[in-house]
Amino acid sequence: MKRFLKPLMILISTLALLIASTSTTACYMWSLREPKMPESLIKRD
Amino acid sequence: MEFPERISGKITKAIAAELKDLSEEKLAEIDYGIAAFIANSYKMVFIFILAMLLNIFQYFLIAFVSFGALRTFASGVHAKREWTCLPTSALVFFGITYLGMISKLNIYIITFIFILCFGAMLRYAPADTEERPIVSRKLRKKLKILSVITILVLYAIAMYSLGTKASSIITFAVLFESVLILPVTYRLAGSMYGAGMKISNNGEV
Repeated sequence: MKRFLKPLMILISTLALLIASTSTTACYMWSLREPKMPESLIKRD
Repeated sequence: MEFPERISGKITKAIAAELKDLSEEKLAEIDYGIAAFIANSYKMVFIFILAMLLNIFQYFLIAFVSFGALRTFASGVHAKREWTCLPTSALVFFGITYLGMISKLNIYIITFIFILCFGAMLRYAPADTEERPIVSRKLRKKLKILSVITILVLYAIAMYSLGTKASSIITFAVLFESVLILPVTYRLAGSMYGAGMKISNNGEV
């Protein structure tokens, strides 16, 4: 079980970062509530 | 704290325990990504199953894609609480679908609605939220252009499918999404319109 835990965590983290980064440029939350975006993801000029 | 954030917090803690080299900033981003996925996915699964059970899946899909395509760029008001979100989402998606199914809009009404919505897009898109402010002026401009292009494409599809239920469903999807970007809708929902613009102008909300 422990053998699979690290790769699983890496996979979840990668997917989560992908979702987080795409959310900065467009609204993919079509349903009507969105969690608060962390400051580091807010794009500035 | 809402339940998607509670679950994402627990998963992020487990990730932090396993992957010790991740910074606080990266962990906050992972936490947000997981919360966003949970907040969306369970509602979408529920609404998709409901559409299948109601035997309106193909019409629902037209409403979902049209509404979603425009919302991707134009954004709009979001529910403040998790418990109000699912009924509101269901009301929006099934409202669009049933209105489109029962009403047969002619070319003049469709064109009139699209002109109003086009004006709303030019004036108010992209309509961000305090939770996800769009601060960058370049990004705002890009999203406005993409919103306008999307509405033009949807108008072309509505015209192509004139006389069918699809045409009316697309029109109602555009109308609903346009209403959701209006400042008056933000006021009614207790949200702040233009959070990103305020940060961009003043450096704070």
